[in-house]
Amino acid sequence: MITGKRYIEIVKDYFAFLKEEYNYTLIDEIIRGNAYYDVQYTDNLKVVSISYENIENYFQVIVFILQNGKLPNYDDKTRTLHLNKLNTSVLSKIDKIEVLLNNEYFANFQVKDEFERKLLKSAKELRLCLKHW
Amino acid sequence: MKRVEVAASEIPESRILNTMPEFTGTEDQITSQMMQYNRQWILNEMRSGNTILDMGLDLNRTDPSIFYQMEQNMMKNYQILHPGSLNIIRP
Repeated sequence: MITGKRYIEIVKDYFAFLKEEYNYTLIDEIIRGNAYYDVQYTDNLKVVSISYENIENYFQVIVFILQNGKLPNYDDKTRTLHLNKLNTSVLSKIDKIEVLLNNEYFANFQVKDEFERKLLKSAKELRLCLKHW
Repeated sequence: MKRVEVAASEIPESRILNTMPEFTGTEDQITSQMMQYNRQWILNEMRSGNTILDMGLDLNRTDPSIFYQMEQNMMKNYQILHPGSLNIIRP
């Protein structure tokens, strides 16, 4: 079980490219006891939410396309985009070299366990997806 | 939880369980304490007479939330004990 503090640290580390490359701003860090954690970034057009339900081991990366500056309905599949769905649409557009270069970008991160591996994998995927947005 | 938060952000004065404390102990103990806290919270909400928005299962989840399932059981049993007392909206 990961602490909220540690979760936020790792997310800010692995997803630093959002700020550094895509000019996103960190807008929220939520820690609800040890039940739920969420880190949110925005570029004023979209909100990226990286959340985790600790007990249920439910990790989500969602890109919300803002509607008049507000979050869209969660069930609106055209504006609430889950990373796995984004991946499916982007995978066909990328070649092996791009994947390798992307992996290289994250090469300095050392994962300590399965959960951190999952987080790093999502960070890699999101970076590629945003590149082909 | 994210789904609940987004929905609540669209409804002024709505309340969600966002007061979960940081519990300590083994993973099982923490889960048990969270369930207990959630149980008490939903019980208070049912007793308050406020409208409860039941959003249903999140189809993006492979496994339904154990907390949601527990709340469903609580509401079902409460309605058996207090027929007609709950105002539940299911969109």
